[in-house]
Amino acid sequence: MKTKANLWVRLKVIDLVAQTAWMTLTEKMGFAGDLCGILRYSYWAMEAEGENASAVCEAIDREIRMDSAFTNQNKHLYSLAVTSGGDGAAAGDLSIDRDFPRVKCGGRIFACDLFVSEQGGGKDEGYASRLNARLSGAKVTGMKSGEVWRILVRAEDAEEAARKVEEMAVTRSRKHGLLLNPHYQAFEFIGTAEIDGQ
Amino acid sequence: MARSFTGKVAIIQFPGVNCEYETADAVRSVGLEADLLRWNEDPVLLEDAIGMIIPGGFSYQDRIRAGVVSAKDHIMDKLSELAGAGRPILGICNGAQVLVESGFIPGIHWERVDLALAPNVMEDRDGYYCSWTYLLRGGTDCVWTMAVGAEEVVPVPIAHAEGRFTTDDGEVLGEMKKNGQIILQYCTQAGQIDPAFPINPNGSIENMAGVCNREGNVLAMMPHPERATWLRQVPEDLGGGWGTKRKKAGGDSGKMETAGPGRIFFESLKRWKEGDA
Amino acid sequence: MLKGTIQITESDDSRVVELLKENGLNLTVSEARRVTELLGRDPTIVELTIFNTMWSEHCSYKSSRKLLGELLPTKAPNVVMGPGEDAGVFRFAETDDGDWHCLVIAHESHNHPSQVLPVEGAATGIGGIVRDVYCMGADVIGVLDPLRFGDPQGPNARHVISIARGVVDGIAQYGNPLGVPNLGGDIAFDAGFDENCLVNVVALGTVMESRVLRSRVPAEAAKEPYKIILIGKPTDDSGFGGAAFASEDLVEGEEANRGAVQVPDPFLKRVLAVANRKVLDLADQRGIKVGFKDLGAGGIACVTSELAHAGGFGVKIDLDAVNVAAGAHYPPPVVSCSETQERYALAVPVDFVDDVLKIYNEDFELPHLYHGAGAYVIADVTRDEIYTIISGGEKVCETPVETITTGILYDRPKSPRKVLFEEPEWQEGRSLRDDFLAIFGSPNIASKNYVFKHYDSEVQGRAVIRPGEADAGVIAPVAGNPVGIAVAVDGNPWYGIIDPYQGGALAVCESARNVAAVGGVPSAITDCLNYGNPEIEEVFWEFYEGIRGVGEACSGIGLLSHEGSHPLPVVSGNVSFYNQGKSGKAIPPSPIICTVGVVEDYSKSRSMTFKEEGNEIFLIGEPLDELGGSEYYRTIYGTLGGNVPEADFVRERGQIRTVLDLHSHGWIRSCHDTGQGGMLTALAEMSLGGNGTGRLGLAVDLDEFDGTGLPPEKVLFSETGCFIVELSPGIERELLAICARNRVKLHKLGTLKASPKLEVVSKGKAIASWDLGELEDIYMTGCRSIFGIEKGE
Repeated sequence: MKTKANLWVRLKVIDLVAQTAWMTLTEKMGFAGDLCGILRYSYWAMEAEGENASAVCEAIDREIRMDSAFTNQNKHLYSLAVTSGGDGAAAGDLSIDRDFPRVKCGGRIFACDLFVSEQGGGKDEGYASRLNARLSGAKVTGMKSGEVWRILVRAEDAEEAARKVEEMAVTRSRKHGLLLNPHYQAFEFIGTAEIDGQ
Repeated sequence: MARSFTGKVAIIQFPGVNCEYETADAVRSVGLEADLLRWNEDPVLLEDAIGMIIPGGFSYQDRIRAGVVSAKDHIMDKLSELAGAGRPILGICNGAQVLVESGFIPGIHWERVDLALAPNVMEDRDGYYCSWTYLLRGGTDCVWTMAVGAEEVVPVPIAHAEGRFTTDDGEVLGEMKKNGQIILQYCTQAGQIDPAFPINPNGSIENMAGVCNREGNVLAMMPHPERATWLRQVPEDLGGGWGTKRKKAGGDSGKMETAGPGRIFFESLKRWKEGDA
Repeated sequence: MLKGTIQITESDDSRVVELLKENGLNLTVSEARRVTELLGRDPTIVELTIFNTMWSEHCSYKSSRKLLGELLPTKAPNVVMGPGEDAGVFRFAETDDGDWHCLVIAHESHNHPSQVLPVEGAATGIGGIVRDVYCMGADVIGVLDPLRFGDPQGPNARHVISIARGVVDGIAQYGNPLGVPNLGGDIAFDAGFDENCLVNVVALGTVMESRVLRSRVPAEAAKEPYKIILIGKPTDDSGFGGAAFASEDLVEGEEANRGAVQVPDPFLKRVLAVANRKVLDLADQRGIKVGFKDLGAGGIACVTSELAHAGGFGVKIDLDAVNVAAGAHYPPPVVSCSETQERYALAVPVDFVDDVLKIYNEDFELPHLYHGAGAYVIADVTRDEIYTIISGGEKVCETPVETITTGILYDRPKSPRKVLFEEPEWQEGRSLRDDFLAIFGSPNIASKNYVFKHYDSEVQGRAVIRPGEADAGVIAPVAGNPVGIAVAVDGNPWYGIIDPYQGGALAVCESARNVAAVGGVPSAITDCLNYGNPEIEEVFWEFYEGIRGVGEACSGIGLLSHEGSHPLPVVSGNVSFYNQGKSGKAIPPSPIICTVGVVEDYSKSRSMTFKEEGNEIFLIGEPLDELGGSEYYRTIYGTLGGNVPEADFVRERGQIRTVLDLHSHGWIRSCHDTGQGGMLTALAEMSLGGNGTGRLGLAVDLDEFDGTGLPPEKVLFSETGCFIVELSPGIERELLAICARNRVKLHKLGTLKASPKLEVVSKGKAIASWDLGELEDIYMTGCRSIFGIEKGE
């Protein structure tokens, strides 16, 4: 049975990269007020085959727990979300509340998950074959890996939120865009949800 | 005592760079003066400088993407202005990454980001790679390569994880070629341009090791010329003419202190300055 | 009664055990009672936490201190500062105005953290050791990493390989951004390290003797008020209990281990290094005396008490003035003793405080570059010798400083480990050709070039000989001066298993030989002594034997640069106990030695690569029938054997002198010592060179060794320490005279040929031969499967 398995991994300790992104966007690029929080995850979107979704989940879970290329539980929290259909992008129980940086913003707040991956390079095949070499009871048939930036942004609606996030993220010129360089990185929104403003 | 950069080369010290001192020494080796300028000092100081060098290192720890955080710093406004006025600027390694992320390079559309220095693509390895490479001058006129001969093979070491010049814009690439902006290419010790690793150590398109702007006053290069400024810095086992020269200097500490292959880039600046004067 | 007092006196032993456990302390009941006795009252929780750290094995050397003092020579005419400070200091070149260029060196282990979190563990290892060198007022000019991993082909291969890769990654991720070149290191694999890898780190720095800083409040504090400024990262709970963590058995994956692993930040460290330099230069310009020390084990409590005690002062700390991580509130014991990385303490006169704060907080914008970082005044230096900590307006610690720094000492019992090591039964008729191919591609022998290229060995522009190009790395540390510094690390785990004394002695000999090979006069050593649980008598015996070996080798080889009889001094070092895995089996005894050699003229330091056709190749020394622990026995016979090489200090000294004499004449074209893998391995390495690109061939004449009565394999694979040298033809007479003067044996091995082939010739007939191309293939790729990227399977 075909199953989607999405692995989200983030640091337990303070994420200095996210912190730097926060400071750069708010202090140097004029997004103070729009940007309410920023988080970063390592992300693997897998397609796998196995008897059923829970068997696939168990098999993959067993392996990624053991392999520091995916997680090292001494420093990471992770969530493996398995769905047979649906977008399956939710970061599960990786609560964001504790994390710096996040400020109080007025108005409506949207959490946009922006998936950034590298074009070419063969990393995805490496991850897949690494898993398949050891998986029992499941086989990974598709793999996309990269980073997810979860950006909390103030906006009137989801559309405006996405537009603002794209402005923050995609580097077009010296003064515009920070998080990815489109000459070797691709991006895609994998989830946008309104969250309770605080 | 007021700080002044009159007649000096300014080495821009972003937080986390780590080649600023030896880069200043390399500038001094050709008889020019050099001094450091911190990223948060008054950029107006730069107005009197001969030129500027953004040295190698890990500004802001390469967070998010090498060079991109520095590119957003206030001081780059002044560099942009001075570059536009023809002032020489050299970015070495991390400095090259800053110049690319600032859109000074290729700079056909000024400050538009038309290139990337992406993670190395190498045979059988990934990540950081520290090794000697050979460079050949292509292109036409650039302040920083004026003294480099047309057929001259210049060995210079690299040390980086993100040095692969790439673009997804074929038009820009065509322009760059037409303008002769691909000023330095990785080559064999005999001067052949070969895309195979490790001759091309990071998978750069067109074997790009250094790219200048159309006007030739701004150069972004991944190899470190300041690490090849004295003969003693050349490895004894390096193949080619410079390796042989280095072997022959064995036992002669005087010869060891003579010029190495990378000094030519600083000599170029000096020649430009003298021509200018 | 002070706030947070713990009732020890009134409680019975079982209650004390409970109390200690509740508070996460590793002190024993008797140690807790000893604290009470020293204080003359029940301790507070802060005080107990301080003693818990200060009396950990890691900080107190409570098991080892006595023996170290008795067995290791630390005094010599070149030594400015021996063990005791953060780093050792010795002189290496005099200036025209009578000042001296000094080398600063420190050596430590970061074994347990690297086993649990390889990347961060190895990275913080470098972070800690460079701080020790920086805080002597020095600029750091190089690091080296001796690494020991488990068997990459054994039952735990997967875990072993993942640790090995993580460690290499961690070294690169920290060392490269810091801007300190990697000067080398060595890597050994053995199943004995499966559950407990060794990650040792060495850092070197330079400073003028007149500007060496001391880790103490200056005497000037008796006349003018001094403050203590805490600089760097905001204090958090990372690394709380780290010193104790290093001093207990490792239980992998346990929650309890985790807090003890620190979070490294080379970026902040680099900015701090640049800012520190500004501050120290300004102090020097103005003639202001300062005290400087890095925060390591024991955090604020340890650094302030040691600064105060060394200067003969007291200190009053305001814990509320300590900058902590954003939004966090930590209890006083955590703030006092957490081992948060990237921090320093600076004792300065009150008048200088504002200038210092400006440099860190405004010029270098620390609070802006890292949320919560900065420089903050946290304490007053007092003229009494009382150590006081105030938190929330109340005293949580108050005692004479001396009470804290006094320490504790154990006299551990030892008893010899009784294991019989036997020689294997000799097998006739083996294929020398095949055996050598097996050895030359084995993980322990094969080139580590692949790993070295992950590290920046060029930064600072001082490299003369890079990692892997010769037996030792060489740099030219003083601009415009031909003086060079050669440095090498060594320690063979297999010799130590068979005979821990030889393990220690030979580590010194081998590393001294390595620096001599590039023309360095061995001038000082550091030791990092890695052993199991010292409470086990056999382990403590191994430790005793090991340092006895180290000490005797230092005296035996001596300080060849100086007239008279001086030892090669041990200037710095570290003891790492409790290296064992969950099975309880201790690691192979691993004293790892770093020798620093002073090269008179670096231009005479040559790579090990054969240089020119027609040059003549000689062996200085002679192989003996002592293949115990050798690569040959282990790889081909699958056994350690019994006849471990025996250190002969007179012979070593003579051979080293011979090579140094040849260097001083400028006659050496290439030189390499015969160590692991023996003479044949060394010759193949010289043919190929560090990059594998060499193509000069040689036919080795075995008839030269008829007198030894040994079979060809023993001649070629014996690991008796010798040197191979390449000389231009025509100086044989002088060579013979030098060898005779130094009473060393000499054998001519052959003449370099243009044909790319290594041959072994006996009675005029080639008994084995190899193309250099095939040797390059197995040698350069032998470690790639361990450290290489995952390929599609």
